[in-house]
Amino acid sequence: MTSAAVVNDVRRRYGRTQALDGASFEIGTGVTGLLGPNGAGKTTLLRILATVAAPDSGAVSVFGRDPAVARERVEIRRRLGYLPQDPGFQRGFSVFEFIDYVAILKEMTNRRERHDEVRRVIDAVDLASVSGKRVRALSGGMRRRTALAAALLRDPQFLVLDEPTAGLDPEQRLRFRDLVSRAGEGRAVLLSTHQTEDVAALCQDVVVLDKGRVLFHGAPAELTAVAADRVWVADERRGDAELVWRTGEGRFRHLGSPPNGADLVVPTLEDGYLMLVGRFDEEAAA
Amino acid sequence: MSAVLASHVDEHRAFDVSSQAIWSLGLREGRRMLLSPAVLVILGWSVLMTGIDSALNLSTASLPTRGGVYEGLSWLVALYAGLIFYIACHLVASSARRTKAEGQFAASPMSPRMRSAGLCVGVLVGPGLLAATVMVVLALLGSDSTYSYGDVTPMSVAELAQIALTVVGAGMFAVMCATWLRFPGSLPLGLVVLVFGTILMSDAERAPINTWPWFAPYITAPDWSDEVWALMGSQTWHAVYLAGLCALGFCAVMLREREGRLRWLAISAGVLAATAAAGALQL
Repeated sequence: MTSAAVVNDVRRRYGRTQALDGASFEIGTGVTGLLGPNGAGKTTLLRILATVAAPDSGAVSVFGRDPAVARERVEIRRRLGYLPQDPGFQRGFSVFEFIDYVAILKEMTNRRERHDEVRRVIDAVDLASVSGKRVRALSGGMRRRTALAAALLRDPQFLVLDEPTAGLDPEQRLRFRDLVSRAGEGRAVLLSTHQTEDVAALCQDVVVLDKGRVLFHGAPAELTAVAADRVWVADERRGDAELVWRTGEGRFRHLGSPPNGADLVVPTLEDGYLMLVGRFDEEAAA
Repeated sequence: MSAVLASHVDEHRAFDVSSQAIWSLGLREGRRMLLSPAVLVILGWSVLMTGIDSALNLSTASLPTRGGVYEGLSWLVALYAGLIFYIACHLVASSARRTKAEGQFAASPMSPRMRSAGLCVGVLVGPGLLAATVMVVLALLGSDSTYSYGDVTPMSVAELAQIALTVVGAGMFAVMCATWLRFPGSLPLGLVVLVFGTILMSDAERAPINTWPWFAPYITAPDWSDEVWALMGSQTWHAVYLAGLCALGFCAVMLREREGRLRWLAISAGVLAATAAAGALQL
């Protein structure tokens, strides 16, 4: 496995909040999913990997380079695409102008080549029909795709995406999956999301973060296996399960220790994730 | 596990790429400054009011004279262009902060210092170039001695350069304010310093004996005769002094980032000494 990024015992505190508390993992080529509840430290971790923030302690390396060293940080950024959680857009810029501006910041100095590249990424996110429109006049999903297009400029070797599918409609999410899976061929993609379906569909590797620590790192199938023999359905709500919800068929899906004779079902990645995060809470309480 | 997805990048090529990127960004920022709503609204308002005024005085109106054009252009650029472009440059320089786009831009190879340098280049190639062009037009208009300019005395090259440098200086000051004072309200704060600082230093009761007006942060227009101005000192050295202030504004912008600050402190000290020397020589 070739490692694109290495995170070793990284800690970061914001005031009284310990956002990252000794997180360590390595990611290689392909798509890696980053899952975790709100406040788990995902955005902080992505900002550090995108060289936007620095850790208080611990070591980070991207393509074998240290982002703490100015010269090496620039080398990392030349190979990086970053989509922040809440991308901002300057007033008055059209979609084309905004992406073109980011292309200049990515050191694309040849005007003709730059414009070709801008058109390529606009086509990739299916925004060609609105490329002349003001970004701030677009819907939330379209703005997100605009920011995604900017992240895709110069075909980055390492793509850091913070909740890229938030606000996208189902068709656009499918298009996004196609886009990211192609981007993950021979390159590294780190995808933070709350959508476990996206992780199941796209990722070869998954990291679960909670309270600033890495709770799980492995293949999606391994995360799914955490819930093996612990998911069952019943016609009525049972009190001995850790989580229960009513499904579309009108039955109740239960997560936890099944009673004798329970109607076990095949778990999903979401089941595994919920079991994992729930178990961690129990351990912490103990 | 230690294999790395990296390729060798030639250091010299990287430096060239960075310099070209600053230039490309400067061209873009300069265009944004020229097309800023602040500029368009104020110029549009001026054109509208002039049009209304002409329409109201249609019966007595005549074609503008060469002297009228000269006077109008020189007053417009000398007194108002700097203030208009201060607002425009500040709006452009602070737009990433105000719109929360900095998070995205921070991950780009161009560091905040390079982006600030791009803004300063933008001041030069946008408002600076426009002001210089107007000054060339004024120089051509004023070069023909066969025309009468009425009350207007055509300005010397040094005086025209001063006006263009005032516009550049206002732009640099705006970028400096936007870079250092990263909070809402830094635009009016800088404007107050610029205008009231000038009013304080142009105190009519103490002029023309003292020479404060020549150190004012913005252009002064006391009702003095050319003889009084001549007593004040050298117009050429005053232009050099203003160029020094523009360079100091650029240095202040570069000093905003910690990395390499010592080097920029040394450069700033040199520029400060040169500007002080020009300030002394102008008297």
